Amino acid sequence: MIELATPTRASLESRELNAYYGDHHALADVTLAFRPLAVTALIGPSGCGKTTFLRTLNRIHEIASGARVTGQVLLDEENVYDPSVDPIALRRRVGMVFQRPNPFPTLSIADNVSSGLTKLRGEKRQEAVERALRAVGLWDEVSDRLRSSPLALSGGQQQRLCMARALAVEPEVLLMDEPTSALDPISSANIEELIRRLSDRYTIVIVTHNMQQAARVSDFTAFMLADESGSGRLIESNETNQIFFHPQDRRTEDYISGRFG
Amino acid sequence: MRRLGARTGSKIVDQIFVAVLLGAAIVFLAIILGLAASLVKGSLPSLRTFGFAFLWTSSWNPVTSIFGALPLIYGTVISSLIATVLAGVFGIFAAVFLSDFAPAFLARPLSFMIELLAAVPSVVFGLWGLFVLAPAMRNTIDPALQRTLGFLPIFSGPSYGVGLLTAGVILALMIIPTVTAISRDVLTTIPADQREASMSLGATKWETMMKVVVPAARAGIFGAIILALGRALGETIATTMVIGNRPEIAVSLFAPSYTLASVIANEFTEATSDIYLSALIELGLLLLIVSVVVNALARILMWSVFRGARSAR
Repeated sequence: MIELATPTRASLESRELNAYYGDHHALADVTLAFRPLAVTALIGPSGCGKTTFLRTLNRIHEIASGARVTGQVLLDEENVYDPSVDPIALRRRVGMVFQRPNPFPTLSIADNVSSGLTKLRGEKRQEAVERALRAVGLWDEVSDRLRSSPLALSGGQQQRLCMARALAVEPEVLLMDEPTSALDPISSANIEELIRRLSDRYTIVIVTHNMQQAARVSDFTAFMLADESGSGRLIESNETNQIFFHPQDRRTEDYISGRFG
Repeated sequence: MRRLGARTGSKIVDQIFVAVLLGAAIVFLAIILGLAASLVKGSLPSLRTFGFAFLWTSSWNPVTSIFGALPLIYGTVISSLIATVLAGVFGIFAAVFLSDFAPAFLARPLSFMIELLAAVPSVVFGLWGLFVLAPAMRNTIDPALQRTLGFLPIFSGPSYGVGLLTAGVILALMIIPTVTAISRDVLTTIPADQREASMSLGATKWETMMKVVVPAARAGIFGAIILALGRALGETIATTMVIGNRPEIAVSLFAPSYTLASVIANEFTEATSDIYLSALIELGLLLLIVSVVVNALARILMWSVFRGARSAR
């Protein structure tokens, strides 16, 4: 079995983070530290800013026109919004998996996995592809058709391929934006199990609208809610058990118990 | 009680509707077949006299009534190819800029102006080509090409301003709006999460466009180029004004040439003999065939390139 690189304990936290889409203040004053090598779930009703928050962490938020950010995101004590930081170097350390499985349709399965590997060539490249596919448990299913199109794979396989594509770059942090919302229950369970397995190697942040999922996969949970002007705010964060069984804030308790959202 | 069998009227309406649709489809078929049939009928005298030699002989001589269309086929295909290559490259770059790089305040007016370019009548392009582009080609562009790439035979010999290359450039300008507008539309349909997936792997915006977005849109872009090629093949008046109208095959792209459509437009009124007229009609038939063949070849090419991707869907 080929082993992945030794886990690194990258620390990730946001400080007084605000995000805007044009005039819309989508995220207000979010300060949150993520535990290294643990899974943190961001939960909350639609429009609470949880996805926006996730997208500020690897600076993918800012590629939309009119989008901007104030405040800080610290990766190993370094502010990723410092003008000297290259967002490309950041994104290679902070990988992302999206809501819909989105393999590149014109590339083969192997080329999808290696698409972020700009430096590796030849055998090293193939090894990296195999390593990433094994890490997501897809190697045995696709090793005989690495050259064929990813579109023939099932939705769950495609999503694991997208995870392999993100892991191949050897990031330290993995951001996941509702990664199972487009999948059937069995595929979702596979992905959840995979997230649990990966959590001893990566710092994982997962956005989910599914509270059971947050309870199953996460070590820590952060609850977010939009204020009256529509700006997403962090209400409380704690160990997942504490959030679900002993919420400190009335609004968290209402959401957890299904009174709204 | 309402009876289910009583309302047969709706069925008749449907049948009438289908009949109307079928009629419309048949009309188009009939027009194409009728067009081909009358072209064949009109070119029968020429077909009998010259046979297949019409296709590969190079003499176009109304005085001696000897007609061979090879230089005209050559002029048509080469001028259209030059136009397609130029318009393909510039059109795709412009489309990429408009879809992903231009700020909104620039993208809208630019898109509008490119589409306006498509509305300019071809005779205006021809006039501009004759009075502005041709002198510029003769005095500046052709000499520059000769200095830098003169070792290639296609950039050798004297430049008269009018010629194959000038015609190709004018045609390119005329078809760039088609390539750009359709390619931009196709590029904007590629989902944002494809771009984000690539960017999140640490790709630059440029790498994202060239490795992910443009390849995903390639079938549509290819379709745009084929559509543009079709227009270039049949374009008449602008080509006639700048190509030099000389039925000869020369290696140099600077040399004057002639196209099927230009010959027909120029010489129809002077066709005094029956065999001359018939030869011109055969040119029309050839133009139809060349267009169909080029389109078919482009489609076969597209099919063979994309077969892998499509069978996986």
